[in-house]
This record gives sequence, C-alpha cells and structure tokens, in this order.
Amino acid sequence: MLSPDPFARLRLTGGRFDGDGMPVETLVELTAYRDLVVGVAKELFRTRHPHRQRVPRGFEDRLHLRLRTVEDGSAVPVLERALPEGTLLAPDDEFTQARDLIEEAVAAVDDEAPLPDAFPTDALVLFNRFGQTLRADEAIELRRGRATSGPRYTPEVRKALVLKQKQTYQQEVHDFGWVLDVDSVGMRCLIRLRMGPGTPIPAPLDEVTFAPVKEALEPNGAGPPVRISGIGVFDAERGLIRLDSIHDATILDDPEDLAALDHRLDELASLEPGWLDGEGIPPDAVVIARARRILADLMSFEVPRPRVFPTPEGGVQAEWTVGDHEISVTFEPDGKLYAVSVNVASGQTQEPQLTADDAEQIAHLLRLS
Amino acid sequence: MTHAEGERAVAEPESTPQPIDDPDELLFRQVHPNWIVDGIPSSQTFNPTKKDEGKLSIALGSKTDAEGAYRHHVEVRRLASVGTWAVAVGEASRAGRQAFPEPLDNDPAHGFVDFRGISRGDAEKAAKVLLSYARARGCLYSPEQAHDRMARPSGSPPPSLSPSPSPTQGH
Repeated sequence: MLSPDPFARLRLTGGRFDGDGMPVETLVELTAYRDLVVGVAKELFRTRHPHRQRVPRGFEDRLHLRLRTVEDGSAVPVLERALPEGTLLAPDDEFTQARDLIEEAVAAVDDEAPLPDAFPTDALVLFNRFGQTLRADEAIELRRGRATSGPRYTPEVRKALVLKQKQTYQQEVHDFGWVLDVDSVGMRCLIRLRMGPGTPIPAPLDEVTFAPVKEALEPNGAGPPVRISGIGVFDAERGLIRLDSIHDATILDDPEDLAALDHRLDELASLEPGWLDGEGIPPDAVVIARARRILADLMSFEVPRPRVFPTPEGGVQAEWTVGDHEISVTFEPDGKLYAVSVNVASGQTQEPQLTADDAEQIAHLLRLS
Repeated sequence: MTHAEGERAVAEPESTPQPIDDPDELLFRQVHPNWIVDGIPSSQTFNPTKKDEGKLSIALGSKTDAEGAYRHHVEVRRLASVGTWAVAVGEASRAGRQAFPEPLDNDPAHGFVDFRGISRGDAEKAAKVLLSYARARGCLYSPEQAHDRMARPSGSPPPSLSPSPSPTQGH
C-alpha cells in the first residue's frame, strides 16, 4: 500500500525539462535521489547510535519509493512511499528526516548560510551522485509531500555541497579526446581531451569501451578523435584531473570537420580589437569555448557543417543554408543564444528561444528548416 | 559600414531623398575577410552594424562597377575586402528594404539600403534574403579573379569565389 501523501515531488526545470515529458536519460536522478536519502538516513542512524558499527539488517528496505506519475508543469516525477504492512500513515523516521535535512542543506547553501547542525557531514559526498546529469541551466526543485515549492538544487549548489567536505567533485563530461596510451592489463588509458586540461588525464576502460579506445590509439595521440561521455573528477583548483568512468567512446566519423571547426575558432580567438575596419570586439575565451563545445556537440546529429563568423559585439555566429532556409545561431557575449531561421523563398521567419548549451535544440531547428 | 570621417554627404537633402526606382540597378557590397567561409559571405555582410545606424552602405551600379567599388573601398577608404558582391534594387525591395543614393564628397557612387527603425528579427530576415540573392549572383569582382583573368589562356572558363550550386531562389 502506498502512502496517501507523496514522499517527494522533484520538479525538474530549465533546459531539457522545458519540453513535454521527462527525458529518459534523466531518470537516473530518481535513483540517485533515493540513494541520497538512504545514505543520509544511514548517517543519521549512526549518529544517534554511536555504539553500533552498522545500520540494522534490512534498514535500507524500509524505504520503498515508487514512481506513479509525472506531473506537468516542467517534469514533476512524484515519488510515493510504500507503507509498512498494517499501517496507514508514513512513519516519521530517519528517511523522512533525511529528506527534510537534504532540503534544508540545499536551501542553506543556496542562501550561503551554514548547513543545518543536524546534517551529517559524512553524507555530503553523496551529493556527487545526485544531479550529475544536470546541465548549467537546469535545476531540481525539492518538494516534500504536497508542498507547492521547495529549494532549488542546481549544479552550482551541488558542487558547493560536495566541496564543503572534499577537494574534488564529480561531474558528467562530454567531449572529444585523443588517445595517448592504453594499458590493456590494467584496463586504463590516457586521453587528451579537447576542452580539458593541457595534460592528458587517466580513465578506466571496460569491456565495452576498450575496443574503440584501443582502435583510436596511434603514437603521440595522432589517431582519430573519440567522442567521450563519462564521469569526470574535478579538483576545486586544478579542474578536471581524471575520469572515474567512461559510459561511451565512439570514434568520430568525420574528424576533418572537427579539425576545421577548431581551426576556424582558433582564428576567431586570435582576432584583435577593431578587427572589423576599426570596430569589432574580439570574442572572449568564454564565448569561444561555448561555441567550440556546442558546435562540436552538433556533430552528433545529421546536420550540415556551420560557417562560423565573429560578430562586431564580441559574439560568434554560426550560419547554415538548408534548402530554402538561411539559419543563424549567435553565441552572444552575455551568454545568451539568439537563433533565426528565414525561408528566403517565402519570407517566413522563426526566432525560436533556445536555452543555453543545448546542441539538440539547434539540430532540431536545422532539421525543421 | 557608414562612410568614414571626412566623407560627408555632398549636401544635406532638404527634402526626403527618393529611393532608387530602377529594379535592375545593382547595389555593390564589399565582403570583409573575416566574414567569408568556403566562398560564402556571412549574412552579417548585409546587415548594418550598430555604428551604421540602420544604413547599409552600398555603391550604386549606375555610378560605378564592381571593380571600381572594390578599389574605392580598399584603395581610397583603406578598408578590407575580399571582393564585391551585389544585389539588385528590386531584390532589396523584395527583402522589404529600399535603397537610396547618398553621394559623398569623395564617393559619388555611395548609397545605402535602409534598415532604420526595424526589429532585430526583421533586419536578420532582410540580411538573409539579400545574402541569398548575392550568393546566387556570385562574387562580381575580386583581385584573385582579376589576376586569374590576366593569367588565363583565352577560352578557359572563368574562376569564381562563389561556390556552386547557388541557393534556391523563389522570388
């Protein structure tokens, strides 16, 4: 039997969640949330029972969460708790307390206030798993029970929570890389990432990722680029230091397109002030990096290669011709994206709102045109 | 780009200037070296910058030719260009824009396409439509073309900065 009140409703907002439904790849966040609640509950139990080495057998099984529905209004998965046999109300136990403490900790960090005293600091590391797939413009609003609002859990909040206890945090990495070494006994490799640090980083391999990574290995990293998705470990000061796992490694079909894009963006990065006959602000490193990342991400889709130009205001503009359509996407200096698609035959014009950092939306625009 | 300092309009018009009414007259536009990739200009070429205050400078085909427009831009105004592209007055009109003469002291062929008072979206639309016409026409003059023409044996086909095929035109 399920509790009449939901255990939690996680309102997913921004980016990919602004469309209908809930993207399948983000379902892992529900498992990660449940694991976080269980982890915090275990720490609460240990704090209250310092004489016990372990939590009681079956402790974890007392929290059965089920996804019964996803409400509209962004995606709001509703997690309901299975009640113990013979009870009508959910108990006020370590799990509900853990849920509430997680909310309070998130709210505190968002407000730059101290963590609640009752929050077990050993549990801070568990935030690493929850929110790993969130992008910069996305958030999870944590709503307990039937609450109509709750604190916003963003990638920045998550990072701040983890760094309160550790020097490193985990984050998903999607990038292209060149393989410099493969250790087939230790099942590890060394990869130089396109958007990563200048030095190569180590990464583990498994039965699935070993073959493509090995195939891309050539002396001095001269092999084809590999599209890498995995979990990176970032040092608070040094940035990305290693990959903890690789989910996907795919050799790029058209490495010359990536090389041409990088070459062009290098040209734009070297522009001087006044590059446009005395006017013209050069694009700064942040704008170039965003264009580099998103336009490379676009190569995962069956879309034409962009023509890339600087804008006088310090932005980067990508242009495409698709049939009768002239399309441009501008990476503005203030971090926004401006897109326009014009059917030059009919004059019909679209100016779709693009959320930042989403190549899929650009691919959609190019496909519709 | 707007006319340079010292290149004042010959005389401030006392009445509203009349738009150019010959639909076949070409309006020459120079393409900046940073605004061309694979032989295709950026649509920004046909969209005035903030400094232009809504007036897209062009050279009038009734007063000069593609080479003359290029030479004036590069040799007199000392500005950068890879070559001359053009749209016709009638094409600008179909893009919703009018063209006006605006002769300057040292540039009697100067004119502008009027983008004043329109939204960013409308300006982008006009620029992209103008680009499509200009691409269909191709580069009308570039120093490389001129050089190749000089060096080419008679009877061989002319080179082009514009890629082929040209974009679909539905106007």
